[in-house]
Amino acid sequence: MYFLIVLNLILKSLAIIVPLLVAVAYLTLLERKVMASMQQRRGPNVVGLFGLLQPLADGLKLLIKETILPSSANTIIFILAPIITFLLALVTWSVIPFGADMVLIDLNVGILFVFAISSLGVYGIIAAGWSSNSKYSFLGALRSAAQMVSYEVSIGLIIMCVLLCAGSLNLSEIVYAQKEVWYCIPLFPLFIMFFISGLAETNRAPFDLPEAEAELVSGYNTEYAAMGFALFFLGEYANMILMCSVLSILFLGGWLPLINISPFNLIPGVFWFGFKVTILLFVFVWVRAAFPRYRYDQLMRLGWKVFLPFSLAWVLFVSGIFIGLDWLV
Amino acid sequence: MGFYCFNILTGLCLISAFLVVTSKNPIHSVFFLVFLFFNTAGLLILLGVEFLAMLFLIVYVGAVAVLFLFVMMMLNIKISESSNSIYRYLPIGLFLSILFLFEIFIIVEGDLNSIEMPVFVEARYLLLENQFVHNVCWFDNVIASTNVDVIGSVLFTFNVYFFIITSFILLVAMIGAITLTLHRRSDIRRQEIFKQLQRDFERATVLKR
Repeated sequence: MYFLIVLNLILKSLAIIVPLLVAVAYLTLLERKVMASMQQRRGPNVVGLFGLLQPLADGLKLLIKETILPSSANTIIFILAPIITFLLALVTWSVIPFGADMVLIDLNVGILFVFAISSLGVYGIIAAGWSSNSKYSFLGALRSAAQMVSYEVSIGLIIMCVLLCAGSLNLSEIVYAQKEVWYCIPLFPLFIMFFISGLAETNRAPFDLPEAEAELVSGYNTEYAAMGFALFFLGEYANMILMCSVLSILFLGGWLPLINISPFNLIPGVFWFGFKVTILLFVFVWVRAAFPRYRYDQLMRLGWKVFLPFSLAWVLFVSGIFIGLDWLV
Repeated sequence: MGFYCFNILTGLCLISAFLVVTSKNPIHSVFFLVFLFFNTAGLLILLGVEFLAMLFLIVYVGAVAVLFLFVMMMLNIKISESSNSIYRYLPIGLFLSILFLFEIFIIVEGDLNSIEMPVFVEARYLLLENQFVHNVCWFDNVIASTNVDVIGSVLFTFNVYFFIITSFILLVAMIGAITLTLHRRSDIRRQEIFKQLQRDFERATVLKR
């Protein structure tokens, strides 16, 4: 009896994790191809047809490479850090709704769970930087951690605005609340701010100073050789896809079709969700190709002196409107 | 199943709390503290207050323990290698721990037997032997309030003065931290971001005769 329940849970989890890993692997290829197109060259196109087997080749290379453990590193935490990062990137996917009633766990505080796990992502980075016992890793990790913590504040305030409009912390309820109009239309500045804060939260260009290869020798994952580096990489891309899916759930109506009319209704919700997440990922890669990097003090100034006051003002504005016009659910 | 969850979570809480105190490396202590907060959040979920559990994760693990970690890494804390100096504190430590145990026993009266699960009404009315009669609590179906609703309906109405005072305390703490660390020197040259952003191609270079 318990065996069947456990088997059910394991199969459902695998049904989320395996497509996610395939998506992460092919996201690396998508990024290289799209950036190449924007720079007027082809991307990888040698390995398979149009380069489609490139992620497999990359994975095989990283698997075969020798794992180096620095002798003066704190071994337990050194090995645990990429594990923590990848684990946290996968755990959040249990509460994301892919379609109507297609959630692994329909948590009543779903959005808070996503926020909590993203604020735990700081630990993997600090642990990686500190345990490498190297100046550059440590500085890169501290910079990266401070940046993540700063942009989480504005993410939290923006989530608060969306919650006021939706009336519930449940992710499925937030999607259902956007049946009349998607939240990116009334809350469009918040959509832009959440997008930019999501870029900063996942250490993604133009906020990738802590991990750029030309600065600080690629930051906290300097000392990580093969599988550790692969886990960090996978964790970062999984976080990217997660940020895009949270963005589409909160602002773009999740798995709801464009308009609730017949030709759009026939397409299942999962495809709409995937379509929106793919477009947002394309914009993520586009931003990486187009914009120069922010210097670290400019990045921190943006987070604390620009985004925090703006999102705080929006919380006041939205709650003022709701109380004044008596729209509170 | 709740039995196993509770015992595993409590056991891990106790083990990690013990390891926080007895670890030689202070960074290991902080990581065990983080693990302890995780298990406490799990216990709160078992109690049914999942909002508080998530707040634990966000505030304690995501902010407070990160602060501890930053402080630990900045300071030059030596790893205490000598293990025979802890026996100096044994008498007073034992006295304090017995005092705390006594306080816990004052609050938790009665036996430590587990509370039995509330027996469903169907089992008592076995006389009816009618499996279509279910006892439905209609109140729970009509007014289903989440944790957030319940906390909000009490915190912002009856206890609003405490809420406002708490926010003032946090404001004072923030201003105190800023006052202690901010010193503006008048003789260094700062960046003026707005001037940099207004830079125009035509006025960037000036030809001087």
